[in-house]
Formats: sequence, structure tokens, C-alpha cells
Amino acid sequence: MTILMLPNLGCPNKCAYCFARPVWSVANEMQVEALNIHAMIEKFLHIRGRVSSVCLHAGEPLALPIETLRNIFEALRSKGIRPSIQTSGYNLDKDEYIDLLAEYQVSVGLSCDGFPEHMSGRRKELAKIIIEAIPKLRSKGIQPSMLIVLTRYNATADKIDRLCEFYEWVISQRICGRFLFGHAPLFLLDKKETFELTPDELYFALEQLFFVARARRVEMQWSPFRDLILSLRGENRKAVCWCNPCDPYCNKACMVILPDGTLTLCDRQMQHGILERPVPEKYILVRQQVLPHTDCKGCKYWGVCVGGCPTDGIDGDWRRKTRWCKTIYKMLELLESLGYGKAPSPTRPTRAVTPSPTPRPPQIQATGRPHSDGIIHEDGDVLHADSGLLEGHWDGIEHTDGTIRHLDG
Amino acid sequence: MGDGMSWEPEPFSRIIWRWKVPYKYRTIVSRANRLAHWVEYEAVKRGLRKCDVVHIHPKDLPQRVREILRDGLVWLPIRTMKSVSGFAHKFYQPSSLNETLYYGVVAHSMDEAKAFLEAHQQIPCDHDTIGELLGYPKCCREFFCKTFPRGELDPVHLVDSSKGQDPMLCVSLRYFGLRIIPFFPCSFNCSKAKAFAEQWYKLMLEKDPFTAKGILELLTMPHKWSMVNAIIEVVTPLFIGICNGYVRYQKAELYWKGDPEYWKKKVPLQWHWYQYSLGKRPSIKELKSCMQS
Repeated sequence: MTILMLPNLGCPNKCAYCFARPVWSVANEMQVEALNIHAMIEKFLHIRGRVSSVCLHAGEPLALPIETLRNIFEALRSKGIRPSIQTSGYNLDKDEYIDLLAEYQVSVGLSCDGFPEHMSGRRKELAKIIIEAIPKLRSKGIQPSMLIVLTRYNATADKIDRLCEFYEWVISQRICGRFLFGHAPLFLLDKKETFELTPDELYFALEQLFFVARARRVEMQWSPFRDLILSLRGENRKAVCWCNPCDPYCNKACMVILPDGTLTLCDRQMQHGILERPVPEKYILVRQQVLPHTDCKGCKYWGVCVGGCPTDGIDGDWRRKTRWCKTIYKMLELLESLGYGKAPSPTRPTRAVTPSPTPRPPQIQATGRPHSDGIIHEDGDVLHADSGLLEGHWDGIEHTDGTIRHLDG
Repeated sequence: MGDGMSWEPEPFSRIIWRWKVPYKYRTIVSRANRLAHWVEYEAVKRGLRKCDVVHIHPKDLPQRVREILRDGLVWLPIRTMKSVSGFAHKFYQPSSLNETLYYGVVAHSMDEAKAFLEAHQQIPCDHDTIGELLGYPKCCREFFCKTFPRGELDPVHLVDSSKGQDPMLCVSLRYFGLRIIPFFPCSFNCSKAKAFAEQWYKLMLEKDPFTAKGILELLTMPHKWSMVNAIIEVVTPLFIGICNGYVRYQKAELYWKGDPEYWKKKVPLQWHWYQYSLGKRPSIKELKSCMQS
């Protein structure tokens, strides 16, 4: 489960394909009136279960005044909550923001679609800021991760070589992360051909990027490769949310806390504005009941992708399977042919979590010495602290304890 | 046309409210179902129609039957059915006593109740006679008899909209309790269905004017009803509602025009988001007006 806090609903970046656009228009008014850090934290503590960290997410968290950010980080620290942020790089050209992130040991996720020429859907200068900020962050002990949205702006056949160059540079910075399939939200469906790749184009791009990752032996550090491989092995629970059943109107994978402490749905549902999370929660996986009888009937990969993310549904309709079906299918065929796993039996919709018979060696060497920082964290679905609360496991998942990045083992 | 597949989703219905919707509307929705059931029974009691169907849980049976007899009516059990937490388009077989309901007919006389039972037991079911005993207009019964037996269990999208849409005849929000008439009209402007609705509405006003007026107000809400892959979704300015439908490979849709100007002024923020849900991008002018509100 991922828990996002949205202290800032507004965003100065105004990315062309942002699904949170319906919220921008009312954001300024709301955040000024409503920001209640303590209510947000109370809500987090109420719902967190085993989750020990929270991500400050879109709008753009770094667009908040630095003092407000400091107050948020301070309040989180006082409750023992580890903060992370997802940013498009806004204000990362200012040293005081980097110092603040370092001071509070904030995990930083960077949203960047490539070199500046790839950023037609975003402000181009943000790519420059991010590229320059990465060494600074690393010098302060922050190892960022990266989120790259694949669209027509950066991943068509004529642009993919340059994107692969960018990707190689990112890998060389020891950054892991994920590729997102750039999808048009409901209100941009009529314009989707301007930025959304076709399933064939997306497959072509993913295939190239996968072989870059494979050559550098980091395919298990990058989504969706890692997630598709895990799901092929029947370990969907360790994979990203869209490889698992999801009810878009009451999803368990992602919970979002608004500035006034209200709990809402996955941020992708902001394409509808803001919807309240139903109370009491009723988790009916109706989409997963329906799809095996309709759109996904007879598909050998049903148990692997379970129809994909509801917000990627055909014609923007969550009741349909993902419009990236063809892409995912071909990727799974590729991974299967390369021996990464095998489609589960059609009689078993999702396989039980089983250890990989031949664990792959660590792809990234542990950068930290044997350590014990006592911070509780999750490796896949194993909860442990390096002080030995739970020990003797290795799942090959790279993670960060405080500022130390390592692999168990 | 329905595809006649044997598979169907588990019954459910759910409302997902937009943020900051006035609580008044939530109260109305939470009360609406109870009021609708009261009116259906009361209409028989007052002689406005011959029969009504009543579901009774086994543990409530003695007391409920005594109440019916006290009202000068009779109750004839017809069959058992499963109690579902959502919206049932048809009967589901119960698997335990706890989830069992007795489905029966309430009438003024045993003859009328028996007539209902016989119509119910015919193969195929005699929907026309049942509709007549329930007091539904002939034209609307004919519409139902044409559509339901061919697999369209919920023919909302087949109701004629070409001559207008009267809020009193809206049936696309009934999964969430919001309705006045308990049947499918042949047209959303059917004069006979309208006359029926007015009688019904008067009764509702008598019992609970706040909820009755609120239901009628909500039925003026523009909304989009659609069914894909056996899931019904109704997108409105105040909420998104979902419930079980039936398997139909082609998408079925209905746009309820309602009174957009009223709702735009009433809930500007939610109206703004509603536009996005419909796949529209509001103009800068609309945006400013929303902000000012």
C-alpha cells in the first residue's frame, strides 16, 4: 500500500497530460484555507497499517514555501514517519531546498521524461534542473529514484535512441525507477493522439529500454520490467499495483490524504476532480469478476496483469481492460521467451507467492557496509528492521534504509 | 440486446461522493429507499392499486404478517429469494436461512393475490398481468414485455427520450434509492406514467416532504448512465454511482439532460469536476465563475 499526502494540490508545472488538472483550478483557494498538517498526519497514523513512510505527492510539493515544507517534515519526524517526495524538479535548483531534503533524509523521486528535448509535455527547463540536481542530491547522501512517462514526446521510433541514451545516463547514476505508460485522462481522450503512444509504439519503446536495462543488469530495479517478471513468477503481490486486482473507487493500493486530512482515492482518480473514499469501505473487486468473462476471456496472461490499471481502460472506461493490453502481452511473451518466468495456469488466476527457484545475483552491489539502523522497512512484503527483527531473507529488492541503499544479503 | 450469458456479477451498489457535497444530499439518499418502499405499500393500503410485492425476513415474519392483516390486507408468499446488499435485477437463490427473504404479494383480497401468484408462476412469466396488478400503465407494460424477455434486464437505455425527459419518470438513479415511479416508463415523457408519478409524489410529500422534495430535486440532476461489461455506472455532478448490470458486449448509454443551469449554480465546484468526468474541458470563463462561486 502506498500512502500519498497532498499538501499542495496546485502545480506550477502544468504538464500537458497531467490527470490532476481538474484539481489545479480550485487548488490555490483550497490549500491556503485547508492545509492542516496535523490532521493529515493523524489520518496517516490511523490508516497506515505496516506502512512506515509517506510520500508528498502531486501537485508539486516543492512549490510550497520552504518553511511550510520544514514544518511538514518536522511534524512527520516527530511521529517517526519517514518522508519521501515526488517532484518534477521545481525549486531543486535552489540549494536551500536540497539542504532541507538532506536534513530530513527525504527520499526523492524525480519525474523527468528525458533530456530537455523530450519534455514537450512538460516545462523543458525542469529536465535541466533535474539533471543538474542529481549529483548535488547524491553528494548530500540522497539517492533519488526516477519516474519517466513514455509518450509521443519522448518514445516514438525517431526519439527512442536518444531516450535510451538518457536512460543509460540515469542508470550510470545508480538510479532506479519506473516507466509509466503515458495515458490520456478522460478529459483529454479526444486529444490523445497528440501524446499517447499506440500499443505497438509503446511496445517498441519498452523493448528497446528493456534491452538497455538487461545489458546493465538492472531490469529488476526498473518498473514495469521488474513487475512483469515478478507477476510471471506468480509474485504479483510484490509487483506494482496494476499487476494486482484493483477497484478504482475503493482501491487498497494507493490512499491519498488531502490538505484538510480527508482521505480520498488513488490520485489517478483526480481526473474526476476529488472523490471521497467511501465509508464504510466496501472492497468489491467487481472488475476482476467481470473481465475474465468478457475482455480478458481465455487470455493466458490473465493472472499476470489482471486487466491492467483501471484508469488505462479502453476508451477511458475503467470497466474495460487496459488499452495497453497488446503491449503488455507482447512484453510478457518476450520475457517468457527469455526465461524470466512462465504464465500461470489459467485455472489459477493469481499464483501464490513462491520463492524464485534460482535467485538471481544482486544486480547492484550493496553500497553500505553491514549495517543496523533499526528502521523498519518493507522488502517486497517482508517487514523487517536491519537490527534483526526479522532476518535471514533475501529477495533481491533494492531499497533504502534512511540514506543507505542496499540489497538484503 | 442482452447476450444471454449465464454469468453475472455479484449484486452490489455503491455511491462515491464528490468532495464537499452538501450533507443535505447524503441525507436524502440515505432516506430515499425507505420512503419509496413506504409509498409502494401505502398505495395498496389506500386502494390506489391492487397489489404490491413485499420481502420479509423469516425472523420478522409473524410480526410483519400481523401488521399487514391489521391494515386490512392479505399477504401471499410466492418464493424465497436471496437478500443482497446491492441492487437485484432478478431473483437470486439463497444458500442459507440467514440470507433468505420471503418474496410475497400484498393485496386487498386473496383472489387478487392468487392472480398475481398465477401470473408469476406461468412460464414464461406473465409480466403484463403482474404489471396490471401493480397498477402500471398499459403502454409501459407493453414496453417492458417487449424488452425484458429478450434479455434486457435493465432497459433504461431503450426508453424513448425523443420527446423529452421528465424528472418524475427518471429511472436511471433508482439503484441508489432515487426514484418516484417503480417501473420502466415507455417514454420519459409518457403522460400515463406521469399521472402515476404525480399520485406517488403526493404520497411521498405527505410522509416525508424533505426527502420527497430532495428526491425530485436530485432527479433533475444531469447525468450519464452507462453499462459496460455488466457494470452500470452513473456519473452525476454530486457523485459517481456504480452497481451490477448484466453482460452486454455493446456499451449502453443514456444522457439525462436534467436542469444544468440549476446545478451549475447550486454546486459550482462539483459541477466543474463533473464536466471533466464527462470528458469535457471547461472553458476559462467557466473556470473563473467556479472560482468566484
